[in-house]
Amino acid sequence: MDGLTVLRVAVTVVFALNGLMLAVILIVKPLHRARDDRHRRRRSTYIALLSRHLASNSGKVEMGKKVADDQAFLDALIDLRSVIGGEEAEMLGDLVDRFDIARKQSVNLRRRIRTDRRLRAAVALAELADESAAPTLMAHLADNEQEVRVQCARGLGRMRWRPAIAAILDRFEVETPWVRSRFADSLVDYGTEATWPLISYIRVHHRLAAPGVPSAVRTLGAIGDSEAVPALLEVLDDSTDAEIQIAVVETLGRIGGPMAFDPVEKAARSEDWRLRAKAATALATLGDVSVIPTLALGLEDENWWVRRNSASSLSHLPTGIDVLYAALLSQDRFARDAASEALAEAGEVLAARARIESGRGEPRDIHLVDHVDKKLALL
Amino acid sequence: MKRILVADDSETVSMLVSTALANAGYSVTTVDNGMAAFSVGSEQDIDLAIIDQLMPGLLGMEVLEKWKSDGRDFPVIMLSSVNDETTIVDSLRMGAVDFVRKPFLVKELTARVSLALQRR
Repeated sequence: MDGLTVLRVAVTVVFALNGLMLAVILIVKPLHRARDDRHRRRRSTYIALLSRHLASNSGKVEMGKKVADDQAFLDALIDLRSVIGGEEAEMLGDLVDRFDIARKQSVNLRRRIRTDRRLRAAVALAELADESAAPTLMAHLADNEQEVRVQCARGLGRMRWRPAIAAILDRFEVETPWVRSRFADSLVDYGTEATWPLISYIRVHHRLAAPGVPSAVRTLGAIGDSEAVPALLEVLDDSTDAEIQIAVVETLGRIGGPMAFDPVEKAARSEDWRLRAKAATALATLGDVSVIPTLALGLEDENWWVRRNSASSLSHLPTGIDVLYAALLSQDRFARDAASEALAEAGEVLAARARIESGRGEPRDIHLVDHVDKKLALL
Repeated sequence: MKRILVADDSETVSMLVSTALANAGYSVTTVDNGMAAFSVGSEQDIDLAIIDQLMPGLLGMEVLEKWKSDGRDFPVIMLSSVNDETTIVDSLRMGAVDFVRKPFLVKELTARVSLALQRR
């Protein structure tokens, strides 16, 4: 075959393949759309049926058992489960039992084929199943599919299945950051039951600067149990890892309490700017006006984030606004800028303009508006 | 028969609430966005409105504010999944007669509707 013929054949093949792909798209896309529309209509029908079932409270079920095999029915149950509570949610739970949904979805989850079906099964179990599904969910915390693992952890957290706490924490070291943070979210559902397992995990792993430790620390912050504070203080003293220290300072700010105050204030004077910046934010969440002098110093920090966070924290504290106005007269240009930006975010610029326009403006209002207008003129 | 407007962009919530209210003997109109809610509330004879805080178009509080400016005085119950005290207080200050957080008991919402209508 000569070169021209080869070229002709190649071009023909490329065009033929493109044509085939276009044909597939033109046929497959409408088919998918039609399938999605049918699914949406069935889901709406099921929502209407289930709503009538809940409203009638008769206990009689108008649906045949075959609906339990329909994904649209499961989607309708999940949607309803997310908006109702109390005894009405229990009525939906009765339907889940009556239609044997947990067992059927457990079988689907254990299947090796059809990842999409396995994932839908994991979601259904996470949202609808009771504790009888816990062993299945536990077994799949190490599933090959990360989304399945996330849903299993979520389901176990919703059920507050205690044996899962240790199993979830065991996964912290091997999971990606995204999956680890989803696992951490599911631990928050356990509330204070997860406090001591988290503390044990942190105590063991922080010396190795294990990547899961900051997530575990932040989870304690989300739970908000003040019993964690002494352990967190130990870790802050002991750890040399900046990420862990930053997470601890953030968490101490979040949990609060008298024991948290001094270490967070000390962190605001750290040599590491990341720790100073985090401490500046944490001091605001501690909400004590005695932190104002520390934050005022932070306005003149060499690092932008520290200045910004200090200014923002001041704007959230009683009398902190006064400090920001005073900082507009500072010799330090960066302190003036940080103060004016925080005042603007707090709505003070608009309020100052309004006061000036109505004849009630004070000198500090004029000063603020002047400063902002000069900055805008430079842009 | 009392007429109730249900405004929520979630089909699930709309259907759930409208079914329960219809079962309780009310006539229900449903819409799925803020602009439609405002139009129906302004132009039709409504005895009570249940509106979601977060909707496309106008937010629930914006709809409530516009109704109040237009002098519409039917009771409004705010529905929200936002668990924020400021939102609750703002809604009540703006004139909502009640605030129901999601997830909710449909029976309880129906009872609150009945109470709000009795008080009117």
